Amino acid sequence: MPLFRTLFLLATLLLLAACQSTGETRPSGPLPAQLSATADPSVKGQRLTWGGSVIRVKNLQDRTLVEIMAYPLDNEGRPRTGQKSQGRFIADYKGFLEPAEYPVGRLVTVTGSVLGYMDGKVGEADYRYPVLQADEIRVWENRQSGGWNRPAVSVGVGVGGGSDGGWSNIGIGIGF
Amino acid sequence: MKRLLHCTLILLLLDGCTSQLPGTIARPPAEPVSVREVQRDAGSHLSREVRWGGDIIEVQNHSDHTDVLVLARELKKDGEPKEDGAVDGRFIARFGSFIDPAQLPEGRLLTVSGPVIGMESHKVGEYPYRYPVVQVTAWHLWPKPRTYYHDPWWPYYPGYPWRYPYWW
Repeated sequence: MPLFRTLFLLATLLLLAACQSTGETRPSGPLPAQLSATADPSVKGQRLTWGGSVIRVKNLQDRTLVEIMAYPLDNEGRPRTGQKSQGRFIADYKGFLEPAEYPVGRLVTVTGSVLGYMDGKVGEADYRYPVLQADEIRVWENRQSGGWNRPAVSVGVGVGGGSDGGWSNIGIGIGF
Repeated sequence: MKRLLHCTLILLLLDGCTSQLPGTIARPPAEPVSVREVQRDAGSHLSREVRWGGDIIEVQNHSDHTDVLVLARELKKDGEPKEDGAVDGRFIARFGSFIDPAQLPEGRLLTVSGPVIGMESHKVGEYPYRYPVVQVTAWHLWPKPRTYYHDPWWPYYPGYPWRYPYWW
C-alpha cells in the first residue's frame, strides 16, 4: 500500500529531524584539540566560545587559571558532556575566582580571545593547552542525575482500520 | 480548657525547638552586612555585629585560639546556610579557645555571630585573599544534610601539571 509507505517515510523523516534538532551543535571556530595539535599561531586574538567541565583551578596572584575538558555546545551554549570531548583548554581569568564555585565537573562556557599555548602533562604525556582569555564565564547549574542530559524523545504510532469502508488511519505522535 | 492546654503544650514544644539556637544565630542583626561589603570597606565595618555562615573549609588550631575558615553562603531566615546558596566570599571565624577539628568537619555547615575584628590576608593558591575575621560569640553547627550529594564536596586538584606562562 503506497499510502502506508509514504506515511512511514514521512514519520521516519520527522523522527530524524526531531533527533537532529536536539543534537544540533553550535558552529564555531577551531576546537581546542585542533589547536593543541597544530599550535596554529594565526588564531592569536581570535574570539572564541568554548565550554566543558572543570578539571582544576589554580589561583595565581592576579589571575585564575581554569583547566577545562571541552565538549560540543548545545544551542544555549551548554556543554554536552555525553558527546565526544574536543580536547582540553585553559581559561585565563583576570582576577580571583572562588575555587569552591568551580569544583571538578562543574560545567562552564567561556568566551574570549585566544592568548597562546601552555605546555603541560596529562599523566606522563606532554600536552599543549590552548589558552583562552576568559572575558566571560558562564557557570551552569548541575542538573540532577536524570533525563535532562539525554535527549528525551518519545514516539507513539497509532493505526486504525475499517473493514467495511476500506479506509485506514495512521496517527503519529512525537513527544519531547 | 483542654484545647487551651493543648495549645500551650504545642507552643512550649515549639519554643523548645527554637531555644536550642542562640538568639544571635536564629535572628539576623539589625543591619545585616555581607562578607563582600566588609571586604570592600573593612574600616567602616570594624566591630560591627554580623551573622555569617557557610561551608567549613578548614580548621586551624593555634596556641590560644581556633580559626575556622568558612565559605559564606546565603542564609535562610533561621540562620542556616542554604546548601547551594549564593557564595558570598570567605571569612575566618575566630574561637577564643581550643575546638577539636573533629567537631567541625570540612564541608559541614556552620553559622557564627559576633563582631568583625579585622582583616587578614591568607593565600588561596597564590592569591592573597582578604578574609574578614569574626570573633565568635555564638555558633551553631547544623546537622548533616540528608541530601549530601557533593561528590567530592570540596574541589581537590591533585597538582598542577602545566607551566605558566604561555607561549607562541
